[in-house]
Amino acid sequence: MMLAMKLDERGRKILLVLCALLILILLIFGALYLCISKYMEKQGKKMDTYMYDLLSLGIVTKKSEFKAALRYFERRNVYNSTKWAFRALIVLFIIAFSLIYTLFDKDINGFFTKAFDLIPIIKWPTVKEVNEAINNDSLKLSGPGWLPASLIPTIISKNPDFSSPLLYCSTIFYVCALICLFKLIASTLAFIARYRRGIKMSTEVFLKDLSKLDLYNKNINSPITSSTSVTKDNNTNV
Amino acid sequence: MGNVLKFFLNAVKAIVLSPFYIVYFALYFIYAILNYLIGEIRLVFSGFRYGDKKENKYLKKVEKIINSSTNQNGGEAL
Repeated sequence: MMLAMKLDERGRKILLVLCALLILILLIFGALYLCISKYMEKQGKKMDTYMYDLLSLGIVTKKSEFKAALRYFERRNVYNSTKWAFRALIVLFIIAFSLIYTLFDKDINGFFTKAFDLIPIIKWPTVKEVNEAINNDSLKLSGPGWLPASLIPTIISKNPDFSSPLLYCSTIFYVCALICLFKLIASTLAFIARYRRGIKMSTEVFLKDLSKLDLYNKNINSPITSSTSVTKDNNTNV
Repeated sequence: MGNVLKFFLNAVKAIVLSPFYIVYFALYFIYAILNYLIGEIRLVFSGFRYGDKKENKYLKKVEKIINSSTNQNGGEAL
């Protein structure tokens, strides 16, 4: 606060802009972290659906067996969840290159860049331009009107050629590729969540804790070890 | 107030550790790609049965135990 009061008008404007930018960046990253962590927490629990039966029926009785089962299941789960997205991507590239070589005169660069004509360019002002604007404008630091116009970015829209089939093919290619990529990212995050939870639980499940041991009831919270494995006869207690 | 502070602390953590998170994710993504490629080869050699739940050795053991318990209990399910 004391530093802000010692700064001149120009300094205070820059400080305010930087604070606003920092809060915006924190909000974006915070929201992204929250979404991803919630998704991974939910996906991690799915590991329990297949490991529970193996533990309760005594098929897995040791930490090493738990990890081996986890790796076995996850190799197959990852393959099953990603196979169609990878296959779609491969087919997409085959179709794209066959179109490039048959219809578009081997214009590889054009095919892969034409879709970006639809996205306008956002031109941010340079530091020099902002400094000049602040020095030239004698704006008082109060209310929203103090923000110099040069801080607002310029949006330059390109003129896409809507009659060209290359534009549509390129756009469809990128849309399909993004959908496949999104599915692959989600599947990989789910795999990371399940695997990490599995590694964590491989230790916790076999941890001997006397406070959880109930000698009179022998409930399912008792640790499962190779010496006290649940046999078929004890299944009615589970 | 606690939740807001936690939110911003997580945001700072995400910004500071994001390069490591990206590298960590990239390694798992490479694993997923290799796993897919090996999976497709195994699919062909296994007669298109790789990844099928019916061919899962652990699930077969589970089914065997459940079926044998059902037979022992005179047809009653567990």
